[in-house]
Amino acid sequence: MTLPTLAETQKHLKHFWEEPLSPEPLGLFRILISGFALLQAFLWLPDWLAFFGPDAWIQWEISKALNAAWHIHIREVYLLLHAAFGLTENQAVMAFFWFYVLSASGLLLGLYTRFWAFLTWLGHFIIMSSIPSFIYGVDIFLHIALFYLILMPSNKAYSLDRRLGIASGLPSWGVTLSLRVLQVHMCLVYLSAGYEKMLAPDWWNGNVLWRSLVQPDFRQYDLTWLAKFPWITMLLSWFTMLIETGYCIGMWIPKVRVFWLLGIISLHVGIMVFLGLGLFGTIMILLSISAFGFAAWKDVQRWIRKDRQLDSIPDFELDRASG
Amino acid sequence: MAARGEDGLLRQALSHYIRLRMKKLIYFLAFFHLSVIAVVIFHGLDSVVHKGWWEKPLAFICSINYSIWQYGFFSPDVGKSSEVKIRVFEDGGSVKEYSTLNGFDFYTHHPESLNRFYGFKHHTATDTVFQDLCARSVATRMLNIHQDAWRVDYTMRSIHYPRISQFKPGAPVDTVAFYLTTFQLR
Repeated sequence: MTLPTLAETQKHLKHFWEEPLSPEPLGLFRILISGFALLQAFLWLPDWLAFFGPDAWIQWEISKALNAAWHIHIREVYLLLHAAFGLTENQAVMAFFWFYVLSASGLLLGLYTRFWAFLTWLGHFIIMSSIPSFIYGVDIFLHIALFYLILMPSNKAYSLDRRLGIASGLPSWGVTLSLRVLQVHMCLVYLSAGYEKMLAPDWWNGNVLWRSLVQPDFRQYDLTWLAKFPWITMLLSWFTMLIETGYCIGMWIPKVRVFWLLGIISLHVGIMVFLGLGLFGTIMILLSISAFGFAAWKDVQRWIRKDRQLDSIPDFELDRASG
Repeated sequence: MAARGEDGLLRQALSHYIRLRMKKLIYFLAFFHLSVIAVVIFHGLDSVVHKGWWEKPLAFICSINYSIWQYGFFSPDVGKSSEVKIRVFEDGGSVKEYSTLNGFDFYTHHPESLNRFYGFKHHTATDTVFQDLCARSVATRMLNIHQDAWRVDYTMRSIHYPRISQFKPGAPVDTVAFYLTTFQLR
């Protein structure tokens, strides 16, 4: 086997970063992420004041003290709305909720998409700044996705911008770069998650998974019977490390991409069902589908086409082809 | 006429040149973005991240897009959990107990809101100044909810779950109270 020359490597890299790609995955990314933001917001609605109101568990003065100079706290939103419209604290907090929902809806529809993407990101930035002690993985990944939606041409597919002729549906270098950035980012995320786990001996013997399943923070069912079969948690831990660390390889090989995607989906469905982290599992699945779902779907279509072509060839032709 | 045509060509060439430069700049920024993520995510900057002029710019970038974040899901702390227990003493001698172990269902309407307390407990368990502030904030909220209350006890306990090989059904789980404070109105 010979190593590729510098010129060949450059050609491959240029092809990887610049080959024309369909904007459909970016349109799907926009719809999935804005839909997710809306779902999360409405699930949060009954507890909205308890998290963001002036008498929340962590009061404004304390959460504000945790902010850096550039954060925008909900208290500043209240001061603005109070000065402009005379709203009370609770009214301002609820008005902010509807502003966030409106922005995410605008992003979902895709009319003047970047404007609504910016407003949704801004709303989420205020959420993150206002409850710094209550944020976890789901908020972080949603924030990353919303930031990308401001910059990426996600209005080129499945959007009102596209339908009204504001955006063209043609492939462009911006589409390719955007999709590649999202794909590489997801690969880095899973590689680091898998690699960190591999450094911990308790991941190799299944103890971390065992503790996650039985401790009350995450426990959904009584799974203490697993103590009698330690090999189950050990095998599941190995599967987790394999699927996460190998994500950055498996997702680029057309023959295994679908299986890897199904593996990562099943991993997150497991997290949703057995650890109760429904929204976290959902956003991770949506991000993987956005990044690699279209490619995987194309692989499946290619296989089906190949099968049909083989079916249409008479048996004696196949026999001759196989020698 | 010819001069106008030359003008048009020149303008086209200039706009093409600017577009090419912009494309290169955007590609450069994208590679820079992914490189910073890769370095931070694999702890390449851990020892220097808080020791230079770049600390604030990195913190700023992180709050803008949270890309510079380490994603070792469930790696370091699983198995070391904590519990927040609140006891509210009301007039007439009744005592109400709330514990994060039983869920904060008295307060949250959805399990997804409940999940947020994992981060809260982790944050308060590791930050001693924040523990005091949180305890006061929580006590204030409890006193607002329970108008007859005159005393609130706030306790944090660390819980360490046994390894799978050491697990004995029914055996008590190892807990240690590491923070206790009382607020009294009388």
